[in-house]
Amino acid sequence: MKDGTMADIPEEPPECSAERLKELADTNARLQAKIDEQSLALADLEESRAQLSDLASAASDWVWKLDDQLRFIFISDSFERITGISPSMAMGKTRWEVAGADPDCDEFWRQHRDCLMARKTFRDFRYSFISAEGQQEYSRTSGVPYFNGAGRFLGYRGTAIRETDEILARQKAAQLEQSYREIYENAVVGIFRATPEGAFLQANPAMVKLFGFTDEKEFLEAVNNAAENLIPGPPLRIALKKGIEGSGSIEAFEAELLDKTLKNHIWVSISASEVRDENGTVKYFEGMVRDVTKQNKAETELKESEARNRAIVEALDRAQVGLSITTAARGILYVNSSLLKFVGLTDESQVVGRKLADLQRHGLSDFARIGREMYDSIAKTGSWKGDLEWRRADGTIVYLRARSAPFIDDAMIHVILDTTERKELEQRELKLEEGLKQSQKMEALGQMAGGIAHELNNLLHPVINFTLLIQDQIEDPKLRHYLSRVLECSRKAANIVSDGLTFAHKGAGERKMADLMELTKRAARFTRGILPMDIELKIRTAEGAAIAEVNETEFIQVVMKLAQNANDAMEGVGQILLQMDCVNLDGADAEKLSLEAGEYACLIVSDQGHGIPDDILDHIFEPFFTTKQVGRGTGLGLTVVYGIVKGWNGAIAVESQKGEGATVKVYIPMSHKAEPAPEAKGI
Amino acid sequence: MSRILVVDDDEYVRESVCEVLNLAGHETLEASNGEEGMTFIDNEAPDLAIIDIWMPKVDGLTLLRRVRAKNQDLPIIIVSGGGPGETLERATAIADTYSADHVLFKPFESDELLEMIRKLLS
Repeated sequence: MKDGTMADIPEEPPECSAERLKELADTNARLQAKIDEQSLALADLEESRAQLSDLASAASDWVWKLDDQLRFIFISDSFERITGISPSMAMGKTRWEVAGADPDCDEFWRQHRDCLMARKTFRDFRYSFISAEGQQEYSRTSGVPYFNGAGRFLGYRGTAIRETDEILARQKAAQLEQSYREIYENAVVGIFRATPEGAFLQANPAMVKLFGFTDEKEFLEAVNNAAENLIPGPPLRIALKKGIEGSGSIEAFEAELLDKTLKNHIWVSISASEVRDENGTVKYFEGMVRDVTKQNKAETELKESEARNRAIVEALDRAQVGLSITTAARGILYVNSSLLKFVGLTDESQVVGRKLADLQRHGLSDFARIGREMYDSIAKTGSWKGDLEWRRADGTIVYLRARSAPFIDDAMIHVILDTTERKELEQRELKLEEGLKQSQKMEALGQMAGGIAHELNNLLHPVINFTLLIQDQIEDPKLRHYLSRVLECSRKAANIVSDGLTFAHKGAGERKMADLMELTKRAARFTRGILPMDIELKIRTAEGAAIAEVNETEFIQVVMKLAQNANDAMEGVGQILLQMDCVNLDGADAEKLSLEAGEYACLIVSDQGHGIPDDILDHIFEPFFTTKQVGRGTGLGLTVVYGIVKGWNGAIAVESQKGEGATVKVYIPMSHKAEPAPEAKGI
Repeated sequence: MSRILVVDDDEYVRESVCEVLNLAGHETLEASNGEEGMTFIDNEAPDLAIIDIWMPKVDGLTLLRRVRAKNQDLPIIIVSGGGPGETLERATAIADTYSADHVLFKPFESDELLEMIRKLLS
C-alpha cells in the first residue's frame, strides 16, 4: 500500500418509495456488495497494516511521522531497538531541534527546513545529533508530505536509517589511511612499489631524497631509464627480481649505488617482497630501502681499524718489539712472540697468568719492587718506563727496557725492547771513553815528562861530560873514585829520565783485530763531541768489514786529531768528511808511501779549510811544527798521528792545494786473516 | 882538525860539547839558536854541525831544513834532549825524513860523539 490512505466512504442514502425501495434494494445490494467489498478491503487493509508493522519492526530502518508543524508525532518501535535511544527524546520536536540546531543560523538546517516548508519530498537527507547519552549519532532519512482529501497539508511521513556505525567506521578508515599516508610520506626509510619487471611505480619522499632527487616523478623516470648503476638502476632491478623470484622476498639485500650526481656512493639495504593477486599472479614488488652508508662506513672503518690494529701488533712483533698486557689482579694476560724470544721462553703458558714477582727466579732486578713502582707511576703519572734485567734459563742476561701505560679497563700495556746490545755497546763505549781519557792523560803526562826530561838532560849532559873531562886529567885514585860515583849517579839519573820518557810515551796498549768500518763510526761519535756546532761531520764507510790490527784507542785518537786539525784549518765552520775505504795499492803507489804492495784500509779526512801550501806540506808531521798562532796548538797533533800510524806499519799521505782544503789519507795494512773486503767505493 | 859548529841554547851543554871537541883537537863555533847557526854556516863554512832540536826563536828542525835547502853535503848531527812529545824514535824518524846524518840523545858521552864525528868526516 502506497501511503495508507482510506477507501472513499459513500454518502447517506435518500428517502424511501417502491421504486425507491427497489432502487433501495438495489442500492442495498450494491451497498452490501460494496460493504462486502469494503470488509474485504478492510481485512486487506488490516493485513496490510500488520504486514507493514512487521516490516517496520523487522527492518533496519524506522518509520516516522511529522505533524503539520513538522514535529515528530510518531516514531516506530524499531527506532529504540536500533539506536537504543528512547523515541521520547524526539517526540514533539522538529528534527533540527533534536539535532540541537537553529535553522536561522545554520545554513544546512535552513535548507532542510526550506525544503519541508515547500512540502517537497526529500531523499537521503543525512544529519547527526547527540543522543541523551552524549553519543554522536548519524542518520539518513527520506520523507514525503501527506495531505487530506481536501488537499490540506497534514505533515510528513518517512523512514530513517542509522548510519552511525558505518560513518564511524569510515572515519576510522580515513584516519587510518591518513596515518598510513603520513608514515609513507614521513618515513625515514625509503618505501617503493615496482612492477614484476622491476620498473618502479611509486617511491616515498625518503627514497626520492635518498638518491638526491626532490620530485617523485623525476626520480621514477631517472630510475626506470637509468643506464648507469645510478640509483636503483638496471643491475639492481635484475638483482632484486632474481632475489625475489627465488624466495618471494629479499631481506637486507645490500648494494652500492650512485646518487643523482653519479658521484656520491650510497650503500643501501633493501628488503622487498612480491605481492600477488587472488589468482596467484605477481602484481608488484613492495619494499623498503635503508641508507646504510654511514653504518657501512663505520663497519668498514671498524674492519680497517681492526686490520690495522692486528697489523700493528704483527709489525711490532716483526720489528722485535716486545708487547705484553697485564692486570694487577690477574698478572700477565698476553705476551707476543718477540718478548718470549727476548726472555728465552718458547711458550706463553710459561708466563701467562703469572705476576712479575712470580718470575723472580729469572730476575736480577727486584721484580716485586719494579711491579710496585710501575703501578704507582701509572696511577700517578699515567705511564712508566724502566729497565729490568732478566736471566734466561741458559744463564745469559738480557736487559729489557719497558714503557707501560694503562690499557683497556684495568689492564696495562707494556712495550718492551731488548736493550742488551745497546747496553753492551754502551759498556764498550764507556770502556773506550775511559781508555781515551787515559790515553789523553798519558799524553799530557808524556808532554810534561818530555819537558822535564829536556831540562834534566840539558843539566845531566854537562855534568857527565865535564866529569869525564876532569876524570881524564886526575890520577888520584880516591878523587877518580869520587868522580866515578858522580858519573854513576848522573848516568842513573839519565836512565831514570829516559825510562820515564819511555813510560810516558808508551802506546795506549796492545793491538788487536778490529773492523775499521765499525771503528770509524764509533770514532766519529767521539769526534762529533769535540767539534763546534757549525762543523758538519759527514761519515762515509764502504760496505763490509775492513779488518786490521790496531789499538782501538789509538785509532780513535788518530781520527780525533785529524778532525781537530781539519776543524782548526776551517776555523770552526764547514764540513769535514770522514771516510773509510779499502784500497789495493800496487807496486808504484805503495813505493811512494814506503809501503809494501797489498790491501790497505784507507782512512780519509778531508776539510774545506784554507789548504796547506806546498812549501810546508812536507813539514806538517814534524814535532812543534805549527801554522797556528801561539796558544792555539802545540803542533804535536800530527806528529802523534804520525807516530801512531808508523806503529801500525801504515803510512800517511797529505794532499792539498792552498785555498782548496786538505785531505789526509792514512793507510793501514789490512789483516790477511780477514774475510775479503768488498771493493772500495767513492774514491 | 875540523871546524865544528855547535848549536844549542843551553850554555853548559854547549861548553861541555865544545870542550870535548877542542880537547880532541877540533875547532868549534858556538851558536845559541838556529838563526845564529845559519849565519855561521853561511859565513864560516864549518865541516860539521851539531844541532839541538829544541831551541827558542828558530829551532833545530827549521835550521836543518834551511841548511838542507842549499847544502846537501854538510854532515849534521841532530841532538835531542827530550821535550814535550819527543822520543828518540821520533827524533830518529825526523832525522831520516830531513836527511840529518845522525841523531844523539842527551846526555850522550864524549866517546860516542867523537866516534860519530870521526866516521862522518872520514
